[in-house]
Amino acid sequence: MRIALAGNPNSGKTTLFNAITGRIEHVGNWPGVTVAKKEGDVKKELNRSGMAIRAVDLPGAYSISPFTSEESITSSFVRNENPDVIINIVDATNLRRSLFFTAQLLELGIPVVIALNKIDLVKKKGTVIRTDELAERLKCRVVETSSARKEGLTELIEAAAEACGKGQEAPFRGTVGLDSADKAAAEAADRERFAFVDRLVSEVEIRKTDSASQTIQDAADRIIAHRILGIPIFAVVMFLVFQISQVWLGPLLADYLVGLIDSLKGYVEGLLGDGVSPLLSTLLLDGIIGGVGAVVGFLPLIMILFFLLALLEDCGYMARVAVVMDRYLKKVGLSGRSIIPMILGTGCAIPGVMATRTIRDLRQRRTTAMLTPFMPCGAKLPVIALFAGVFFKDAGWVGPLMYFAGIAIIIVGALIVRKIVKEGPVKSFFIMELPEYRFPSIKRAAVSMLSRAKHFIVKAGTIILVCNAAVHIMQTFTWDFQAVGEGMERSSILASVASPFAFLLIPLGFGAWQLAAAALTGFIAKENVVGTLAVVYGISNFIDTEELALVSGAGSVASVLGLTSASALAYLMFNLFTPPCFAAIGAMNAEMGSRKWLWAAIGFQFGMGYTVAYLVNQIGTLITTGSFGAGAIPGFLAVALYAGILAYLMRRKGQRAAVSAKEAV
Amino acid sequence: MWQDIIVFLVIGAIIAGAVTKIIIDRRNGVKCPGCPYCKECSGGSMCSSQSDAGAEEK
Repeated sequence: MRIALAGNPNSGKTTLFNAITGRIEHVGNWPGVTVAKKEGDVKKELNRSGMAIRAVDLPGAYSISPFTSEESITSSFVRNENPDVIINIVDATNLRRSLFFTAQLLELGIPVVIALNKIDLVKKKGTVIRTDELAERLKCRVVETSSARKEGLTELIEAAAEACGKGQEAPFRGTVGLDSADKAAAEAADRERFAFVDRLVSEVEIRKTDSASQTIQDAADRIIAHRILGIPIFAVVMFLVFQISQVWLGPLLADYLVGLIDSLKGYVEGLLGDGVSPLLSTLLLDGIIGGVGAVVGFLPLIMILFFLLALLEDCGYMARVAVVMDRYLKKVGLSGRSIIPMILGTGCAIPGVMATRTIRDLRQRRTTAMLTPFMPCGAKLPVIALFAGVFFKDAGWVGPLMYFAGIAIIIVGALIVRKIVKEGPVKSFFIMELPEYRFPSIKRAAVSMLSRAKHFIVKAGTIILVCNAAVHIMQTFTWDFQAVGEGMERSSILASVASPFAFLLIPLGFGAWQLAAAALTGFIAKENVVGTLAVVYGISNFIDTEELALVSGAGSVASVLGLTSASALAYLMFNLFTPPCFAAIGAMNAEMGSRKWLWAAIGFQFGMGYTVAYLVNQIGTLITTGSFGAGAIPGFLAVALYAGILAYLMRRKGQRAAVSAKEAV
Repeated sequence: MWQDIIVFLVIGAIIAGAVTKIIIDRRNGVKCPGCPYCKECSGGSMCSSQSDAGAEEK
């Protein structure tokens, strides 16, 4: 038996799915978190029917007639894939809006069971919903649930099992199944359906709160979601998040973990003794344990950051950030919805890029997919933490600075893309239901954090381990498979591969082949930048075990890397703002659906990352030393060429538009 | 000598284990090990299937 979980966005579908299947899918207290369907088996303890029940979590939809591609997944599934039962998750705090979709689902003839979700919040508000009357009027079972508190779930599954195979009578016959080309008839039926829902809600719901009066939540929104105040509030919040995760609490825990990794390394070193070939012992100690350990050492910082971000998301703050940013994004030709992929992209660029499918306009969707990777993702955090700790005393401000630099690049990038592909501003409307503020669930945030940690460790134990081992082997041997001699490091395979790239990076302030090699391996996974630096420079411990400071011997690490503050910042920004890892590029390819756009995006990202790093290094060097850094003129020519190409593309489009207008006249 | 062989085998086993995990994951639809969204993402490789975006363009 297969049940489909369908409902409006942010009605709690994925929370319910997680609760009944035991899976850990990402949930968020705002609409648009789920953009693809997910499947899982219902837990045995909830299933008394004895049947094997498979649940399918569908993206949120307001209507059976899809407006966005993720809504079409839901529509197509319930229409074409014949689920045995539909569990319609209805947000009980917003009955009027939710039941429109319910009325459409009931017309399909598939048995429907309604989960009247968030019932705990309804009761808390003093609102009464006459569930029995609602069930009678809708001609289906209605079960009160609270997926967050795991209440009513057994009854819900029981009701779904009982409904299987019984068919469904519709309380209202609308347009579903009728000719979709007849828009006037469809609109008339929609109006009737709204009227039906309106009557129904006024009969079954008794609200205690007068919705016309201003609540505390409204008052808070007037400040937090204010068009001007919202920005500094967001900056302060992000600063605190980074301060806690990377300066105050994170290093304390990281220190403990690094101590364990050091102990393991010392233990293995003791086991190996002096009898083992140095080639093998360094591969095991520096290449594998050291390289992976250097990355894993940052795990506590990442876990705390994701915990705090999950709390912000759960309490409803991130939805307000979307509203604050909306007006600015619209001005540069993006959709207000573009902010959702960008915020999701702070966790991982891949779901961020995938979330662009919620944007209807194709150009806006592709532009958002192109620009979302500029938001620093979780994989880039170890790189930020490393450079912040090594080169900048006040590590706390570097993280937020990178986020705001990412936002600034997105805004500039959006303006450029708009100029290239389309003239003038585009009208777009962003309607997002603001979830109510609530006390964030520590448990949900902890689950989210542990899930991230698990994936991080799996990545470290697979891709990063293999890459570090490969980097170490390439660094140890020449192309003739002879061990590299003392002082002959430039003859290694790795050096010969990375040197041509290093040459191009001289104007950015980091022309060493080791740094180029680290940047190259970052395209496989961004954490590799830290791992590769650890391997090529033989630094296994970036986090101090002695003084609870973020980075071990910051001065010595900085001197080993041979970077100034300006070139270090440039290197950091180059790694953050050039194209993301290959997996995220693959996601861009899928969402853009155009090779032309994909290659343009990769070129744009490379050019932008190079330009930003060049400007940061050269201007920073000029300020700190009084003269430009090495390679200033060739770098300027490269940046000027990039700017010239962009200017040509923008102008060409303008000329084309003018010619078309003339022809039209 | 035998110490070298043992260490070589240990290193080989570690790397082989990591590679095997990557291959098994790929066979199970996990294109990017460690990515929490790998199973639902159609873009794990450059030759991914056409998405809705492409369909709409056509």
